[in-house]
Amino acid sequence: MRFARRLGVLPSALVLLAAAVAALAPGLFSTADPVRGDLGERLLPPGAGHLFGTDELGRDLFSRVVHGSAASLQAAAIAVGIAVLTGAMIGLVAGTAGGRLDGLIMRGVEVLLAVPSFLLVLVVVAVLGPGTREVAVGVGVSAAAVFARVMRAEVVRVRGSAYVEAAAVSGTGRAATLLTHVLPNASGPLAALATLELGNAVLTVASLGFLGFGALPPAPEWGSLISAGRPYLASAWWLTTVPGLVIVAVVLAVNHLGHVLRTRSERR
Amino acid sequence: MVRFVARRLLQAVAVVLAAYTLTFAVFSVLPADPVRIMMGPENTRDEAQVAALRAEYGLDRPVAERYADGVLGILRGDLGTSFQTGRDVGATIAEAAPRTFALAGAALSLAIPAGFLIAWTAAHTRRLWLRRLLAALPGLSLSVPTFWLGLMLLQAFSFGLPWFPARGGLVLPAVTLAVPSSAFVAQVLLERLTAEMRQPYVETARAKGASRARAVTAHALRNAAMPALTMAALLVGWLVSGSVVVETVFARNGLGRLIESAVATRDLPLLQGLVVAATAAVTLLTLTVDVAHPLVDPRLRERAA
Repeated sequence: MRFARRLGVLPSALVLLAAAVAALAPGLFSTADPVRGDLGERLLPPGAGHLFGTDELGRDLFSRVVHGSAASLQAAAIAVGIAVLTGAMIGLVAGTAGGRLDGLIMRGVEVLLAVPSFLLVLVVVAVLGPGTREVAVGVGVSAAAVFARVMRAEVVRVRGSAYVEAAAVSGTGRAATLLTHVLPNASGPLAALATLELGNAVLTVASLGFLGFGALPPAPEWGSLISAGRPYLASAWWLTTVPGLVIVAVVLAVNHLGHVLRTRSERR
Repeated sequence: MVRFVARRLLQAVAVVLAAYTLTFAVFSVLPADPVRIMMGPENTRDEAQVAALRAEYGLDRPVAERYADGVLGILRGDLGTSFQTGRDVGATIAEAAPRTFALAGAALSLAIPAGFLIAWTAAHTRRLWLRRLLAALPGLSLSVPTFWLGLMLLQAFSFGLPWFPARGGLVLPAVTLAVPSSAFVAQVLLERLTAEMRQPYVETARAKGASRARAVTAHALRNAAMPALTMAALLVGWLVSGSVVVETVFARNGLGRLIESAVATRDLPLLQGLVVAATAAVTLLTLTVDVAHPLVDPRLRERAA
């Protein structure tokens, strides 16, 4: 089993690397224009000229998927960043303060967890309006509660351990203890959770793009690409199938790495 | 027992009110004003029109008064009035609910047996390849975007092979929603089953001559099922999000479509009502499981009393 896991790490890392390069430097993968197409080459199936085929305006689908990874991955990464930062901060405050403030904060976190998270995302999107950044904020806010809970549990666990007591006895200040002892020990589970959440975020961002709340056309985004291919479901299968397969590959890769990280942090 | 249930009920009401407070805070205390949000920045240059609409929706009253009204309304079961249709939010939700319940019910009646079967087979099979395959299945299904799965099923079984209608049928949407739900059930149950199989009582049962299948079914499964059931609330939360995309893909009217249109038209009272209703459903389910738990597991009875 361990061997099988290690075997999966390399392809997963390669998929992620490819997606990241596509997001940062799409020109390396595809030189075709993702927004302007050639009307003479409409709805061509995948082939030598167009790896993923073309859409109803003759735009190269491969180029659109490559250029779309920036919007999709950026939104997912920002979302996880927001979730980790705010969640960890809340959990840190609750865990170190203890007592009544801790109780109050964790009640609030429980309420956030009781609301179905997708609805929470949609509430934020309804207020902020559609757009990639808005979606990222929504996904980030809705995922923060989980991080707050994990961070608080870690802080409480580490706080009771002998080396933190030793640090306190030897005169290390509270803030210094937090930074040098509590945070590094809490980072393992947090990193594993963040990786798993990244996969979720990619899926949620794609769902919102599909529903039409994400990137505004004609900018490509994976979810909205699939949505745009819907009218051609019966005639041009590649328009919906291929971007979906790309999402599946990326999410599988992220989740696999997340599981490896989690097993590693649990084993310690 | 009665005191336990009463205390949990009060907690549930508090959670629902807190969810209302949360959406109220997001919608009202932030600089964004519901009327401006609904109309969009480009249509709100006419201040007189904005003021008139604010007055019409009662938004010109003080925040505290509106909040108190909202809370009292929820306690009476009144969720307010939709911006877009002017209809009662509670009635709108009640009207859409049966179609979504039918979809979720059909999905669950596929997903729960399938999830049990996957977890049960993976826990008791001796064939390593089969166990690995079944254990990897949930993770794989949960990595697939649900809306895309629905589109792929439409492509294959509605356009490719004309077995099911693209609109109006229940089979394809139910299967779409069932795939991730069953993965969820299988994942939780298999995790519990694997932990239970390591318990000494399973070894005792095996030593006394029980077959591996019987050790799983009669011994481990009984102990694993209840903790797995506590995850049911998460599953319902998941069904809410699943129904939004599945109902959109298959053009079914229901709660999911209602949520989607409330966001698209920025109908904040309707969205708020949907959040409160969904939170109430999840909280009530959690409560039911918590209350039922000691009834099923004798070890917990003393703690609850």
